[in-house]
Amino acid sequence: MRPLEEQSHYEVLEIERGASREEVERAYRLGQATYADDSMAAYSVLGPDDLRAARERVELAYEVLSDPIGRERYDAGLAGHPDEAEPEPSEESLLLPLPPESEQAAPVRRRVETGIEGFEDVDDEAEGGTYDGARLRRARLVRGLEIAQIAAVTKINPSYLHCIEDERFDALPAPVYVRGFVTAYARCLGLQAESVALSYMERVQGRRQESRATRGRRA
Amino acid sequence: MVRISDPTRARRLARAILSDVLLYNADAVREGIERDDLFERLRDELEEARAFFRERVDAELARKGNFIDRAIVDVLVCGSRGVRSSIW
Repeated sequence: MRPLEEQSHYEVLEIERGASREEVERAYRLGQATYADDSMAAYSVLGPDDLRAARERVELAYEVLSDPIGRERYDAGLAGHPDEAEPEPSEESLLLPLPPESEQAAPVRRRVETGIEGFEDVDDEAEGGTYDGARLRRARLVRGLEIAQIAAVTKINPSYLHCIEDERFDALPAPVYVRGFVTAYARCLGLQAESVALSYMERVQGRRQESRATRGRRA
Repeated sequence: MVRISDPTRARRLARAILSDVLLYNADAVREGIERDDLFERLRDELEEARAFFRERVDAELARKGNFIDRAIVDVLVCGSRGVRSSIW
């Protein structure tokens, strides 16, 4: 078997060229699980660096194949490459070009972990102030990130991320966990995690106190 | 505020916004596809999505790129291919 870096995106995800979006999604999740740090399948076979490299290769394959336009272009490139090597970059129009080669080689995970490479100039509104769910969501969106991508990096259940943004505090676990979730989420976005968490937790505590007071009045 | 002037970033923003529309309005999207009234049913959400995009992206790029409409097709419509509908 060829090394991962020489395999096509389809080979990396072990799917057919005509695989549906759902199959791509399933294969991606399976790939992530297979190469997870605590994976039994890879235990004693791959070291931590190999696992990380494999996960990044899976991320890259998923990033291309989950994007209909990117996939179409990738397939078009493969058609002219019988050995299914990576297609050469071609002339691109202004509209919807492929990401530059440097960005294609940078997996989502790395971009997210390092505070979103290429988004250093993103202006999230003035620093400081209160961080509520809506502001966190805006900060995520301006970086072009979906909840699923944040969840893949932080390992936080997407439904909790959803609740954090929606401020559905009653659907969230104990505050100690929420603080951890918000810290991880903010760090992913390249925000000042501690101050974001502090600000958000003030809202959580405030809402909980209100609820307690309301219950007390009813009683 | 620095507006996005890179088409790749604009495309990612559009897809993230529409992904959120789908996430937060899954039932409405499904019903909209089923009954072929997606744009009426999600009028407010799509307008909000366009407004947020316009606020963040260079006006000329946004006008040329048609990013939100493409993302609607890629994320909302293509992402709902499993839904029974007269559309397909």
